[in-house]
Amino acid sequence: MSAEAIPSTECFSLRVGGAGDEKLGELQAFGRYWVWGQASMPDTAPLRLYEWTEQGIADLTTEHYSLHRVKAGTPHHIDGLFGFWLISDADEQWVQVPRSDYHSYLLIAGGATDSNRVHHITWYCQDCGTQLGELRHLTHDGTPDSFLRAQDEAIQAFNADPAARTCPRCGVLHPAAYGFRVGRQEPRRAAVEPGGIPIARRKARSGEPVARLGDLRVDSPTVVEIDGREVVLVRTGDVVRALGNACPHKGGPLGLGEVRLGAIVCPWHRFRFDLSTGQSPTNPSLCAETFRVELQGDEIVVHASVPINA
Amino acid sequence: MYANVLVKEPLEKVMEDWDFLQEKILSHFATFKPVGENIYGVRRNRVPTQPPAGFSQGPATYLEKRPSYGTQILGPSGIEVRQSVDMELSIMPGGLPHHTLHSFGYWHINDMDELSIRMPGPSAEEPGFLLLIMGMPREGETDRWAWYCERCSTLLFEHQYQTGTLGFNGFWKAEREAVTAYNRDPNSRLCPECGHLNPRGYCWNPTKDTPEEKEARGLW
Repeated sequence: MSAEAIPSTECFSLRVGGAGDEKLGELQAFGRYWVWGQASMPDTAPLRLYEWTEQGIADLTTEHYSLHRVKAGTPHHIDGLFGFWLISDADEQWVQVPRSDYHSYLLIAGGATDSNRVHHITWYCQDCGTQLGELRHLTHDGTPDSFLRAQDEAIQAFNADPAARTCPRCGVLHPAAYGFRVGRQEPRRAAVEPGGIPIARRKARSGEPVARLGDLRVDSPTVVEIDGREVVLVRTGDVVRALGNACPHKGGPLGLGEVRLGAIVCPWHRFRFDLSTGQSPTNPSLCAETFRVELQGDEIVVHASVPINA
Repeated sequence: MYANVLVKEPLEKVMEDWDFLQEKILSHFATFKPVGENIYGVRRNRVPTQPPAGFSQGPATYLEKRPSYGTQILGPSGIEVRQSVDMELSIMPGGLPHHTLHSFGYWHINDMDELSIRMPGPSAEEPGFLLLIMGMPREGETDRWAWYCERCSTLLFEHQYQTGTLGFNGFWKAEREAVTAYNRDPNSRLCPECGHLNPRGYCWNPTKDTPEEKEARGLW
């Protein structure tokens, strides 16, 4: 399993308000979600969510706590946050928390696999609601940064063209547009430390030396790459064992696990696997891949083309 | 802005369930409900933020000493407790075992990311909200209920439900089956590694606790 396929055990955290708080969040991605948040003083103009409905434009600004879902594909505009109408392939959750001591807002987009990939923007005449030109497709790579760059280009083109901003029906000139307002990057906080186990990304071919015995600390897993396959080396005394890095349960990184009583413990769900056989003592159906290890002097050679217990 | 084209009718007439924190629909979300791409769970925040009458050591001390409803996470470094902070959005990545003390008596492992935010009440007298949002499981994605030894974190028992294939409607029945199966045999709770007998499990819904499960709810 590639490193990209292993989900992180790091949690995401974003504080969006407290008494006296005033902060503007970054548009950030975590897992299947994009999130943004803001806290502001109560006397600041509220952010106003407008959404197209079958009856016209609805103003969803509230003076009480609210949680609203903007369905994927619905044109919506949050005045004060982004100066255009957005149509996203993701469901969005808009949370308003207007308190007497601060106002907080949260935008949470996503939930489904592969959403937050397709966005279009447009503008409507603020006087009569007529759409100004065609939908603009934002070409981006699925990351917030790329999305923001794409919106900037579309906005610049709109602002530079007074004809595009003029309503063909009533002739009113639309004000200049503005991009998604983002602030300083909020620090991400790791809820779970990775354990501090050194990972040596050494590469070798199967049957060739990949490390020396002295490179490995006793009972401390080291991940190497052999023929493109991630292999965990564990030294117990002068014996070295080699296992596949992907836990057979859910693909957790065994190389980040601890070694106890002749077994390696997966850091995700605590399944244990015998270092010599790969077998789980608690679940007979689970067995980690093991590979033959040869010591040539103090050089460690792993034969990783076929697992011993395949 | 848009004054000429704004919908004049009350929002309730234009959009059904436009606000999921409305009192009249809040009860639907006490046991979670699918909404589009996600599943929402909303609870009135039951964690008191103000000291009860007679508590003489001040609000700050009370906040330190009040009952803990923190969430435990089982990661590479072992068990860590995270106390939720008002207006903090947390996202738990899919696959990470987590357990909320005194709220559900198992380690929940879902394949979907899970968001939570605790909102304080509008005033000291009014309860706030605990909002949970989980991605809707798709085919092949599961929910699992697991129990780990509270002393050495060894996996003791696990029950799996194919949520993506079988549907979220069967989630609570499967949860009850998992808890009952774990509690049925004391050997399930006996750690093969260190010999510790672990407390029983219990479900999310406290109204159906057996006396033994109620006791376990108070323990962990």
